[in-house]
Amino acid sequence: MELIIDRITKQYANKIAVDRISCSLKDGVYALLGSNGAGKTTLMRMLCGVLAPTSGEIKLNDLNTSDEEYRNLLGYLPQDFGYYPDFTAMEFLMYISSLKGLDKSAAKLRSTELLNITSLSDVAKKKIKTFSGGMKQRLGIAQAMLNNPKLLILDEPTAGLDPKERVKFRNLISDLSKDRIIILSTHIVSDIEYIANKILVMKSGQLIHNGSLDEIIKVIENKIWECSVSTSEAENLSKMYTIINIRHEKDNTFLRLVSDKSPTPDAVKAQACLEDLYIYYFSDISEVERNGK
Amino acid sequence: MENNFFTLVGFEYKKIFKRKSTYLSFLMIAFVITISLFGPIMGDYYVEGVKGISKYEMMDIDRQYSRANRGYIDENKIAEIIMQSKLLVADKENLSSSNEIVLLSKDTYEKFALMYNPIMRIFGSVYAPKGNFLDYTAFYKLSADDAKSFYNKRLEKMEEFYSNQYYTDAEIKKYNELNAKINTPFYFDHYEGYDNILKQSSGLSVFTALLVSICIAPIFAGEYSGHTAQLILASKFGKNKLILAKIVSSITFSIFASFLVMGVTILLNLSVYGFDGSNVPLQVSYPLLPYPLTMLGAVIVNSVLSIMGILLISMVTMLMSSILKNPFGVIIITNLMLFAPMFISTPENNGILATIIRLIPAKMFGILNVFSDHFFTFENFAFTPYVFLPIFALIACILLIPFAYRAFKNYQVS
Repeated sequence: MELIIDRITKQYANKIAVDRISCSLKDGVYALLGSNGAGKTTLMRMLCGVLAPTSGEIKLNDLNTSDEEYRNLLGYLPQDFGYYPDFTAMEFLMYISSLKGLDKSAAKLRSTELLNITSLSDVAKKKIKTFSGGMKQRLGIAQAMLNNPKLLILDEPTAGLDPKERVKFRNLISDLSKDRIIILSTHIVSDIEYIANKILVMKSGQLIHNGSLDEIIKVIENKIWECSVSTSEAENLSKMYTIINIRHEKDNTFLRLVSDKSPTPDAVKAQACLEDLYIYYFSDISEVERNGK
Repeated sequence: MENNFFTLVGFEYKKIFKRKSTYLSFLMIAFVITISLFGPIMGDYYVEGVKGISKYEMMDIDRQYSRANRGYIDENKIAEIIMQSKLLVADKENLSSSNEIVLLSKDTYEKFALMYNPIMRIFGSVYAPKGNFLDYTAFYKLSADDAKSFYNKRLEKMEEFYSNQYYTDAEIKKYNELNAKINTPFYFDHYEGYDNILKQSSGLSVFTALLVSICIAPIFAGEYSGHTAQLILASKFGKNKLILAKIVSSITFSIFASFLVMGVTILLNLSVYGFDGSNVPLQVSYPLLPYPLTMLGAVIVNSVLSIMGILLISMVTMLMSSILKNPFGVIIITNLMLFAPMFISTPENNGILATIIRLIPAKMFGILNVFSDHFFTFENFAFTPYVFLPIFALIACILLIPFAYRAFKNYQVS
């Protein structure tokens, strides 16, 4: 399987949501990382053929997004997962199965299997409107996998899942990653660290990084520092550097920050992780979000 | 593959019948049917301010007398009625006043006039003086000789009606052709069951169309507002078979619902008011109409037209549902489409504007529209409403479907 994204662009009246993204994805798990409004969901919608790009082309083994065969290979969990409140979980999966071209017996078998995998077997005959957020999300994951898709696109799949369910989901994705392309977006950086072979970092509609965790983290290698300083000094450093973590201790304040050189004589270098990279790239946006602007 | 299509149709029905609004709509239509059915026989008659018999008793008496008068309305029958009436009116004791207008006293009306009342309704239109198309009292001034001229008088009255400036030559030619097909003398029997069905059809069709539109409104718009459109459109059959399944579900649901409402209405009306009268000509109830139909034929024609009108409304609803993003918006527009035409009167001149107004789906309902005194004319050709309107509705439905199909297929999730 090869998914080729060629100069894909989505422009609204006065905003470019996705700006000339090009890449080629082969079998494996790809994580889309970016702040809110970076264009992740827009890109995923275009990959699923539910939103037409302004320009550019998407091909999966020479199939266009408008081809029925492309959709036959696709599994999609949208960010705002819609369902029929009065359908039971089993009815819902049977319906999506028929949309995906599964015959009745295969649909029944697959639905039962996926309800089991997503720990929804006990509530298979209950109406979806009675489900908790996590249960609905698991149902969403189940429906995306009904047709055993070769291209699985999951927009915020772990939102609403508790830690135990997230671990289960991560293991499931790892098991599935063979012979298929899985693209997922999440704000939960630890999920990406565990399951993604490659990370696509998006900012303001553009793809700014595309590589493995190690390759991406290289950007901030030797830039992560930890130090313990007085409260007043901590305030000064906060104004000068991108702060990743603040922890108030008995007499001092512990800081983890990004800096090209040592911010204080006592600061020590720390091992960079994906969360550091996220804060490094999106701290300005996070600041804006925090201030509600 | 075909199995998948019918499974998808099944699921669309499941969606419709899982909504509370569907059951509320059926409850509404059941209420309308009940009111329409029992409304005419509820309460009492009042004559000169004095409470008379109940409306149910009156219906029962009417039914008995109608059955007693069963047979052809020929010269002898008309003469018999004229003579009976003359005897009745000759005795001043039987009148409530001595002025020019013949007004029977309550007792006389209940004892004698009721006997011929069902049959005498025809005479009010035919024997009305020139320039007047309805006068029930004119009958009391007739002589026995007038009985011979009843069917000629009817033709004269029709000529008088159709000779005004609003009727084209093509229309008049068509009227004459149709009129020639009407058998005389008219056969009379108790026909109130069929007559009630025809009288109720307008209101009932509007409410059935409302029911259908409420049920169909979410067919596409519900997928947009419920965020399920993106799941559907990203699936294998989401951009082809599913859309067809939705269209087929909308069409079949509209037809089934219309059939059900019409069928129940017909059966209940005939059960309550009587099954007899199927072979009575339409003219016994509407003497000046040129359509050569029996009451049963008229009910069938009227029902078919109602179903076609409802189908057209459901297709417009479906189109709106594929364009608008919210089912409530669709229901509001459909409601406007159904009820606003009630405030639009059709010009009498049968010009282009009148034709366009008569093509509005809500204007296809009811005897006044189905058995209109105007045809649809094109150059030298005239078509009866009950031939032209179903064909128009069918073509309009076929033309609307691709637009709905494309609107959903090209829906952009954003």
